[in-house]
Amino acid sequence: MKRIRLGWALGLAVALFMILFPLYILFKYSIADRASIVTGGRYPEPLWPFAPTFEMYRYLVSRGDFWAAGVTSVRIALYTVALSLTLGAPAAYALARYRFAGYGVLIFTLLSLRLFPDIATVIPVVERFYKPPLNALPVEVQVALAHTLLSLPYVIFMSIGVFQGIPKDLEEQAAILGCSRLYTFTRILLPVAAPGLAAGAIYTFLLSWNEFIFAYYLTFTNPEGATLPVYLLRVMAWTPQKNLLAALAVVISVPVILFSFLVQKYMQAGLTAGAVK
Amino acid sequence: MSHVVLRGVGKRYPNSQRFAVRNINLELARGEFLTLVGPSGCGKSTTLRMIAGLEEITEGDLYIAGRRANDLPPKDRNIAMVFQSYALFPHMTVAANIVFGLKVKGVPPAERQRKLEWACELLDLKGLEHRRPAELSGGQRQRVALGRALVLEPEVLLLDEPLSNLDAKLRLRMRTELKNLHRKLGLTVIYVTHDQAEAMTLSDRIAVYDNGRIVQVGTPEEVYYDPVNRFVAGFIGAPPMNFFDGWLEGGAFVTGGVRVPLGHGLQPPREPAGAVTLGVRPEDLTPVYEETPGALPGRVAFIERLGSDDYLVVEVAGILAQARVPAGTRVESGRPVWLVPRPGRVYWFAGDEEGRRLR
Amino acid sequence: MPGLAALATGAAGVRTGAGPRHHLGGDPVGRRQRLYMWLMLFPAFFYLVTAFGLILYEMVTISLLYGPPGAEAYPSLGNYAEMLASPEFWAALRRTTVFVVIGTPLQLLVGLGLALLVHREFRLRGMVRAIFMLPIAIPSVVTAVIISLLFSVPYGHVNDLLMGRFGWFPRLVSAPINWYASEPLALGLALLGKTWRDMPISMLILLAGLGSISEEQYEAARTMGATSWQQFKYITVPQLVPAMASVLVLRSIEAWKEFIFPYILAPSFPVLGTLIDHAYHVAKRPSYAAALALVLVVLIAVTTGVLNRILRFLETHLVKA
Repeated sequence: MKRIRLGWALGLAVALFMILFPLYILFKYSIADRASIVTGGRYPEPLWPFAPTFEMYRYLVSRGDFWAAGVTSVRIALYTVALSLTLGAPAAYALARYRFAGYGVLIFTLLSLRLFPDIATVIPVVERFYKPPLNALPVEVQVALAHTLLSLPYVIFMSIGVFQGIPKDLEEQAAILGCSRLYTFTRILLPVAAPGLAAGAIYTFLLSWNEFIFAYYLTFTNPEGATLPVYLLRVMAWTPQKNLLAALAVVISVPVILFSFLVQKYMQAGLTAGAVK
Repeated sequence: MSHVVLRGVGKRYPNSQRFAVRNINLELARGEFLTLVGPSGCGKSTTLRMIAGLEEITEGDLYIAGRRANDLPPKDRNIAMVFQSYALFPHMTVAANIVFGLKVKGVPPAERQRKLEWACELLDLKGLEHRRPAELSGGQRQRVALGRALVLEPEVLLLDEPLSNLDAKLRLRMRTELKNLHRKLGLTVIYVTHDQAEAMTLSDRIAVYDNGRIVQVGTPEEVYYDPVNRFVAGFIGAPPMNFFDGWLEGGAFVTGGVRVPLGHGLQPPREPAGAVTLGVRPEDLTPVYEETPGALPGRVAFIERLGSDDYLVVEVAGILAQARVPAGTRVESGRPVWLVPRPGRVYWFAGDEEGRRLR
Repeated sequence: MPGLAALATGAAGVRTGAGPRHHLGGDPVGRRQRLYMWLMLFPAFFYLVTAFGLILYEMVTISLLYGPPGAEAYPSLGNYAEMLASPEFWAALRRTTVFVVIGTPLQLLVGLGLALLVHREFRLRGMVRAIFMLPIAIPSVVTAVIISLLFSVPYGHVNDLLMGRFGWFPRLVSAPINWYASEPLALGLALLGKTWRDMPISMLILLAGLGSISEEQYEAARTMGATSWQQFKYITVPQLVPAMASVLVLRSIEAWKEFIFPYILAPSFPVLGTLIDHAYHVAKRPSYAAALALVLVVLIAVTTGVLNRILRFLETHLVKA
């Protein structure tokens, strides 16, 4: 019994180290001074900078293209959330409430969309968006439309459970009191479901914020349209400076880390959607 | 003309061969309190939901206040319903919940406010108007649900097991309140419950359901003292009626190998019978400790003490029968005992599956 | 019951709680109800089905356009013929397969380890779980940046360590290792990044599986004198098989699909995803990229179907025995 406890504690320590150490290193580089990253091989890079500095952060916030990428990221994520919920919530409600012949087919469709690799689907998607009439859409909308393809199945899966948790009595009571179906859905069901639907919204936001492939391809010829991850990759291409790269990576990650800490249990619902019985 | 009429009403779900309920005939006078009672799955809730318009009526006719209501949507039937779960809208305050139906119907705000105050006064909800359902006790939620129904001034109030989510003590209190409310407002009420005690105490009349059919409709006294079959006799009354299966043969009732000569309280049915079930309620059996004609012989098993009354549990011909005895009775188990039925309170039922009452 | 089909029935099983009340009949109200239901379903499914229908259709039609860049293209199987004749394609297919074959079980093991670590009561358990969730929260690109920082050449922390420059660690190599010049090392880094970032997903699925085993089973086993190892072997593992099968199927799909980590960390050793990007952005040949993409889609569908079969077979024959 004692040996198991010891092994467990050791395992826990190793796991925590494996997860936290890389994150620490990223942070360390982001506040590193020049001597700490340009060693010329005379001494090892220090595990804590010789002279910690927030210079790189100051440099970043002074750059217009960084802010542009941030704004683009936020806007695309918000569009994606709005679109995914608008399309996904009614569908989830119908799947939660009704038993019908095509039910299994629809669920299977949702699951099998996971088989498509983003790097494969992106080719026809870009080819479509480069041609009229879709090329008339703003690039942010294009990326949001693509992100919705990824997030919608998750939103539907996560929301089915939310609607199942709302007693049918509420709808029946509303019907007796004289509400139309649409009124019941918008005034009774959506407000009651809102906290649960927020999980899908947050998951979608993070997915869109972190997504790389579609954003990269759709903004390839349009440097102003870059999202933060794409911007990071472009910075990576033009500077070998480790501290700037790290600072940018930290800036991109901090909001999502905070977000996911706050809504840990909702993240879980999204990540295992459809996977757990 | 009756206020609510169900004529030959039946429900069969699509993709199902069987009728869930069939041939339901009921007539309610204005202001009447009718209870539909039966074990779970007997079709009483389905009947209520058909009246509410939540289930379509497969066959038969429904009239509410003289209007055929079969094809009316729920909101046009002039009914209100209180659900077992109360179905309060969790995101709205008490006040918003109560006036919700009025708002949807386009009643002007001043009128809504007046009705709200009336309901809060009536149901003792004053001061809770701005709370949300989650901040209320079970009894308060119950009253909000009632208020939401009452402000609509419905022709018929439908109650689906409204007390079953309350604890035992509160249930008794709300039972009394409901009864008072019904008297005060002169409402027409259809009430569904599986609890026969609620049905007995609240109702003007009771409809007893068994397996998708109504087997008896009558006042509480009628269904209690004059059950039409073995099912009703066994369902109504607590503790339940004692049943002894056997047959009548040459002036005696034979049950489980014991021959009980007829006579005194134990009078046979007038109509001829062979295989029968004898039914006697616990309060109609008196234990005596010497052999008595017309009494069921047995041995004391134990005493069940309920406080106000005690029940002597007696083994008669292999089954356990209960007889009510004064509280504090002491008898050692194993003692031979004879159970004397009270004259006129002995029920005979056909020994077949249907268990029709033999008179 | 692993895999997609099983997941579908699993989800269907959950929703039967909606109860038998809500039937759809052939009568007028039922028909209205049905219309309403389809109206609710329509926008989402119309969007998904048309989009993926179009994607598939375009993938096929674009991939059939063959011709030199700039010149007029005409329908043919030329892209596929070229692909099958190209050693790069076969090399990429080999690397991708290795990535899947090593990466999938690796993710299962790491996920299982993490799940077992947090599947017990201890102080700060919620905190630890939240920390274990961190890798999935940050973008893949950031993870790739972290790895490239740690394994930078010639002077990064790992090279410094291996060369004994920290003093407290023995000198293992004499010259800095160029991680990105060696196929196994570069792909290894890509795999490290992938595994590190996605381990919370496997962990969560396995935790859910562990959670479904009641504590009483372990208590019962303990009263019968089972050791911890025996409890793990005879109670945990057999009942965890469905969750492990889910992890294997889902993670193998993700491993086939992987692009970002090999793209950033092993650019010289393309996997199929990298090859698609190369064809599209570098060679400027969308039709060849589409052909590669279609092959990847088919490959994933087929291998997932086969893996599903194998796992179901193993499950019925191992667990029931």
